[in-house]
Amino acid sequence: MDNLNLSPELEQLERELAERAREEPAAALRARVIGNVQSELRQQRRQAGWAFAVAAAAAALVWINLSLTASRATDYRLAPGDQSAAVDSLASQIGELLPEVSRREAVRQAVLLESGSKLAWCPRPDTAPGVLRPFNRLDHNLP
Amino acid sequence: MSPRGADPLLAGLAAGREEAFAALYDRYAGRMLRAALGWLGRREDAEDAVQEVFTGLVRSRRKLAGVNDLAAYLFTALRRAAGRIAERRSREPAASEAARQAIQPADRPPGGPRAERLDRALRALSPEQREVIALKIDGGLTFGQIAEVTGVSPNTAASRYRYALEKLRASLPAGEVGAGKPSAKVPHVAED
Repeated sequence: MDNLNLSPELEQLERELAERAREEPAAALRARVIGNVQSELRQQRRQAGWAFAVAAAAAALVWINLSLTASRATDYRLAPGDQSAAVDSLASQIGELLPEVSRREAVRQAVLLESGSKLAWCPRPDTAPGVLRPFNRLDHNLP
Repeated sequence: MSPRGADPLLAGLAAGREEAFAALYDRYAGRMLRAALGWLGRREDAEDAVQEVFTGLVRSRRKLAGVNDLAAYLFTALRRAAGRIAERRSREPAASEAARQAIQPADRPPGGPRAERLDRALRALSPEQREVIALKIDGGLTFGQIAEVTGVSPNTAASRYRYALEKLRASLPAGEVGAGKPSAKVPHVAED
């Protein structure tokens, strides 16, 4: 394709064009171009770092927002009538013993007491192997 | 033409390695500058065109890994940069253009009167013919690459080149063409 079968005269003209004084890039142009390339690459690296930081912050914000939303949507209050008969009975006893305690607080304490009674036995750290102590019993000798 | 993705230089450019861009400059800057001079006529503008190409390369470096012909890609970018610079120059007010002329007249080719006549004859060519001469002689591109750069067929590029040479011959004083010492054929730059 590149062999055009030019006449000798045109071939000579082609050689003259190729051999006419050649402009070579000045050293200053190389310094300018390479310097500009380095600057652009540095800027790209900085932008990549910022992009990562922004993405991480955005992800953290979304996570925090979801957590807050979930916690706000959760009602930790005791719903009336949800308690078992045992809790109701306990709450009534607490109310009789401590009339100044509100019904709500009495129910709460009854729930805690009832829950504590359901906890599993667990050994004390300094107890001989095989000896278990009930978790809900007050033990004044606990370290 | 290098197989797709086989040139390690392309991989280095895409990865943003400074030494790859430096190697690219060393390999192509001379040819690019000469081709841009052929289009723009002024060294300052030609240097700006080369700089614009490298700036654009860095900004779009991730696309370079898929480039099939790096030389054609570079000279396509150079052609566009030269077009932008020429357009900016054409919008300059006449007064500032005159001031530029006073500070930096159009670069005169060294080499004496004969070289000046050759240069004048080149400037008298049509833009398309001058462009194909610049890409072939100064840029060292093949007609296939010239076709890719200019958007014409390789046959059209070859025809333009032949017509350009014939027109140059016709415009030079009779007997001047071929008066120099015969030398080896113009070496075609090896395919990249």
